[in-house]
Amino acid sequence: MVTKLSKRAYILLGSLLIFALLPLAIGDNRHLMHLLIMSFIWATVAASWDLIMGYARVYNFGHLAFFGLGGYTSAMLTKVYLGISPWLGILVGGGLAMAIGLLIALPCLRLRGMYVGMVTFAVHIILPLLARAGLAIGTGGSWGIRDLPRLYVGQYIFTTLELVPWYYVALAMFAGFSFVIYKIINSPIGLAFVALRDSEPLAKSLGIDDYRCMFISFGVSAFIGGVCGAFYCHYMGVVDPGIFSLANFLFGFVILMLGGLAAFPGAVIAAFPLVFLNNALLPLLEVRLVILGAIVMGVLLGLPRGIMQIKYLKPLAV
Amino acid sequence: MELGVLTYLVLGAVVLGAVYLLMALGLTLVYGVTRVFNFAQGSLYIWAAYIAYVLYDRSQLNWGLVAAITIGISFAIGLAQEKVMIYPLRRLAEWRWTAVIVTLGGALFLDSLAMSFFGCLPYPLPRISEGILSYGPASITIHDLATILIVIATVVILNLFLSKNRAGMGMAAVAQDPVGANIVGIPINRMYGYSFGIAGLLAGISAVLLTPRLPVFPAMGWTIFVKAFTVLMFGGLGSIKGAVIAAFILSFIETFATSQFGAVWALPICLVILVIVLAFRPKGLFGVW
Repeated sequence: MVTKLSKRAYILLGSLLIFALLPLAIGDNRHLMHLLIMSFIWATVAASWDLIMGYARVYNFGHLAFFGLGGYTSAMLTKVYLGISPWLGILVGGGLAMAIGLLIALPCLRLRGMYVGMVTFAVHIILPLLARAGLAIGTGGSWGIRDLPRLYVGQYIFTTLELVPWYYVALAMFAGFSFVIYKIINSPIGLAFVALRDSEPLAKSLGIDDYRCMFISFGVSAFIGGVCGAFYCHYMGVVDPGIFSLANFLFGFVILMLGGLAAFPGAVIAAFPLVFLNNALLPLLEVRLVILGAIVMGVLLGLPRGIMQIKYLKPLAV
Repeated sequence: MELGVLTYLVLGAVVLGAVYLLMALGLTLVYGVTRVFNFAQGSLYIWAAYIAYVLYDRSQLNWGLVAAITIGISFAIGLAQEKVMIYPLRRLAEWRWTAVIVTLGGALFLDSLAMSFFGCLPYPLPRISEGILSYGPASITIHDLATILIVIATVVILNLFLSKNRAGMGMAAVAQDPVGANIVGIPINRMYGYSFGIAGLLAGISAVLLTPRLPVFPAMGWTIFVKAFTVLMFGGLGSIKGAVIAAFILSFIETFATSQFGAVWALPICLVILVIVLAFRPKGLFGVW
């Protein structure tokens, strides 16, 4: 059976094709490749954050904590403890982030709204302290864990000199997880999230299990966040408590807000310009964060639903 | 443990608890009236501390004047925060959801602004007086004594304000039922503004009292904020009695845990307490809402 693809699907497949062919044109421009890899990572992080914050409307202010947890788990397993393959490390990193996510979901089940935000944010604030204090369990203290093993395929080991292989792994991760998130949003579970968000009593009276939805939203988004964090750390070759910094949190938050909550490709689209802008602002040091903060405030007060509010841009699901 | 050390720790815990109490009251007041958690409360605290530092450093005024001006400015900052962050959102249908995110964004903005002005180094403030009162092995600095007295006075005045003053009663009414309050003619917008203003004022008082003991640095707002929030949840939202008891329980646990295991564990212990409270009694000790 041949299904006619919609215009949207053509746009998506077309942009994926462009991204896949892009290294042919700019593959030797390492700076540009690096920025694109970062954009893929941040786009995936923001999209998975949007899944829980926008669609399920659980105030999860701890998403970057899962990102860092994934990174630390993979770094410790590959470098300090078992010496497992980084590929496996990335998966386990995602798995542990998911486990912690479910653990955090437990006390949050009985809470409503902003309380969840406070608990998750407290987790985010406390993790860097534990990472600094955790020399004994191998977190490397303030220095972090350096020279993490790089990814490899067969005998070929990825290096920082040749970014094209990293690019394709990041692209695959980005495309795969974006597809998963899109599918979840449009599945019965995604609809259940939205139903609970819009009218909890009605949704529950129709038999939607709110505990189950909370667990699924925490689990899936934490897993994706953890995998992204682990990949990020292997790509950078280092993980330190700075991964839990508020600067990192703020950057993810800017992407999410500019992309708009519950506006699926919004966060993905917003990640690209913001990664480039962030890079351009790096020489300004601390002023960079002031500008990012100002963008958050400006977007929230002027364009509360993000860029997808702009005409001609329509979310793929509400 | 030696008696002198013990009294030192106990006094430290009391002072710390008193300051957490003020911060928690600021949070609960804003939450009660507007049903929004003000994530920027910690940022108001560090800004008040920095303002006090700059005033003292530049003008060499005496402590009382610096404190008074700082507290006035932080009241104004609180009012301004409501005008900038909350008021424009109120036309939206589900504005509370956005408002919480806006206060978080605003807090990050204010923190990075503080970071770019003052850097990461801690800044201290002088004490009210360097004097020490001692009785046998026990001794207390005049600053600590004054802190405790000022906090008690503030809590009493706040209580009187909420139960006797017209504006305070208006705020209490809005906290109970915003629609009903609106119908009987209480200006809700002004009450929202007042609640943020008083929260700023309380942050200002906390800042001038605590900064001489704990020098201020940009990330500090969050640790204070998390502790104030834990006090709030532990004591129960909307209950001043609960907040008082919880603040002192928490500060004692924190002080003695810190003296035994090191300062790193202060916040994790806080989180553990928070999770235990939320798991077994989400309403807190004396929760109303």
